[in-house]
Amino acid sequence: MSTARTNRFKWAGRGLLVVYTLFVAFPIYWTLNTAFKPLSQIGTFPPTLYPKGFQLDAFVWVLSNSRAIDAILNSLIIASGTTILSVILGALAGYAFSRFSWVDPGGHVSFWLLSTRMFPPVAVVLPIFFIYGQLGLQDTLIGLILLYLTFNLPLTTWLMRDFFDKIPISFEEAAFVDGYSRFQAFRKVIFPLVRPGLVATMMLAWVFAWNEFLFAWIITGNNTSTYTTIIPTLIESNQIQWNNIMAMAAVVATPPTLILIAFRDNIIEGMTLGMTDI
Amino acid sequence: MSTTRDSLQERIAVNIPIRREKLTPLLLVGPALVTVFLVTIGPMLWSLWLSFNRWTPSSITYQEPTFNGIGNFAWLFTEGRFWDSAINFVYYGGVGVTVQVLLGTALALALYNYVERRSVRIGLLTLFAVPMMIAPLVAGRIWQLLLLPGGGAVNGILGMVGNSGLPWLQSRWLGLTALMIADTWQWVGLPLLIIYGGRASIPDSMYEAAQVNGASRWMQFRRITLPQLQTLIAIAFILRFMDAYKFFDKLFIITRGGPGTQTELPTFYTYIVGFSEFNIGRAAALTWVIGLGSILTMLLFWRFMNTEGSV
Repeated sequence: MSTARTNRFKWAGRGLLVVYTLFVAFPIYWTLNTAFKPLSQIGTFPPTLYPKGFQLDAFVWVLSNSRAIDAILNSLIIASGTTILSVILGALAGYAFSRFSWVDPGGHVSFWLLSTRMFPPVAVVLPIFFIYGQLGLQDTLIGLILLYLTFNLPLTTWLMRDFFDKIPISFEEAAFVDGYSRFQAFRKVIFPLVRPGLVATMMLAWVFAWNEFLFAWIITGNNTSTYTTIIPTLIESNQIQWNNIMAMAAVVATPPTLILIAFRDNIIEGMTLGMTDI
Repeated sequence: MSTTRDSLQERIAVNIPIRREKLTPLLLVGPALVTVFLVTIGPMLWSLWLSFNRWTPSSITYQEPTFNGIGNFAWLFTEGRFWDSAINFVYYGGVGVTVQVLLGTALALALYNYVERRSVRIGLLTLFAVPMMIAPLVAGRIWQLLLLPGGGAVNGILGMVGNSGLPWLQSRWLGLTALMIADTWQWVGLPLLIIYGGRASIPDSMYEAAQVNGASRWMQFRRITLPQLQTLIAIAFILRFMDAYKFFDKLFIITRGGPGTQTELPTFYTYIVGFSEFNIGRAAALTWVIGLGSILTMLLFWRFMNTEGSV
C-alpha cells in the first residue's frame, strides 16, 4: 500500500506533529528562558532567544518572598486536604455504585452526580459567597477545602466506579468463600488491585484544587490566599518584573508536571474520564 | 457492566444477610451525595430564587431581596453588553472549540498511524498533556508575556521573518483570537487523548478486511475510522463546550475583558455584575441563562450527532 499518495499523507501527518510539538513546547521553554534572564533582556527586539548570563535571581526572589511562600503553603494544605477527603468519599461511593446496582438504578444517580460538573461554577459562586459570609467560612482553609471537595467528588466517584468495575466480581466472591467479610475482602483483595487507579484519581483531584482560581479569588482573604490569587496582583508596580513572574509560574507548574510524568498512564486515563488507555 | 453487577447481587444474597447489605451501600454513597447536594444543588436553587428578585446588598441603603418577577431577565435581554458577550462566546466557542477538536483529531490519527515507536508516541502524548496540568491562570500569564505587543516573543518572531507584528489584545477580534490561541495551546490535548484512545481501540482486523476487499485508504477512513470515532468526537466537542461556558481564568488575566468591555465572555460578565456592580439578582439571572445555554448546547449536540449516526 506504499503508494505516493499514502506517503504524502504520512509526511503531512508527521509535519503537523512536528509543528504542533514546537507550538506546545515553545511557551514552556519561553517561561524558563524568561525566568533565567536578567530583566534587561526581556521585552527586547529581536527577542533574546536564550538567557545571556544565566541568573537565578528570580527564583531566589520567589523563594524568599514571604507572600509567595505563604500562598504556596496555603495551596498545598488546601489541595492535600481536598484530595484526602474527596478520594475517601469518592472511593466509598464509587465502590457502592460499582457493586450494588440498586443504589444506582440505570446509572441515573451516578450520571446525575457527574452532570453537576457541567453547570458552570459561576452559578454557585454568588450564593456560596453569601452563605460562607453567614457561616463564617470565608477566608478559612476548611471553607475552600469543602468547596473543592464538592467540585472534585463527581469526578472522583465516576472514576473510582470505573476502576472498581474493571475488577472481576469473582475475586470478591472467592474472598467471601474463604470467610472474609466485605470489609476484609475490600481491604485485602480489592484495594491492592484498585490502588493505581486510586492514586491517579488522587493526583487529578490534587491538581484541580492546586490550580483553581475563581472560588479562591472570591472566598479567600489575607489569611488564606492561595498562589493563584496572588498571581494577578504580584508585582504590578510600575515595571512588570516578568522574570519573577515566570519564575513563580515555573515553581507552581512543577508539581503538576512531575505528577503527570510519574503517573502518566493513569492520569491520562483519568483526564479522559476513563476513555483512553495508553 | 450491569450484568456483572446483577450477578453479584444474586450471588452475594446467598452468603450475606440482606439486612446488613442494604444499609452498607447507603452509608457508602450517602456522604458524597449529601455533600454535593448541599454545596451545589442547594445554592443553585437559592440563586434561582434570587434571579427573580432585585438585590443589591452593597448599595448605601442596604436592602433585602425584593421580588421583581422577570425584571432581571428582561433587563438582561435588552442589555447590549450581554449580547456582546454572547456574540463573543459564539465566536470563541464556535471557532475555538471546532479548531481544537479537529486539530486534536488530526494529531491523534497522525500520531497513531505515522509514528511507529511506542516510546515516542507515549512521550508525545505526555508532552501534549503538560499544558492541561498547568493552572489556566498561569497559562494566561505565560501567554500574556508571549503576546505583549512590543517585545513579546510572538511578535518578535513575526518581526524576524519580516512581519511587523500584530496588535494583540488591543482590539476585540484579535483579543478573542489571542484567548483562543492560549486556550488551544492548553486544551488540544483533551480531544487528542480521547480520539487517540478511540483509534487505538479499533481492531486492526477491520482494516485488514477492508484491504482484502480493495478499499482505498480514503474509503477506510470514511467507512471505518470516522464512524467508529463519531461518538468520541461528539464527547470531545461537548466537554470543550462545557469548558467554554466556564471560561474565566485566562480572560481575567490576559484581557480583563478589554479593550473596554469588548472581549468579555458571559461568565466574566456575570462576575462583573455580581462582584463589582453587586447586583446579585441580575447576576443570578445571568448564571441561569448561561447554565441553561450550556445544557441546551449539550443536548442539541448529542441529538445532532446521534441522528447523524443513524443515517
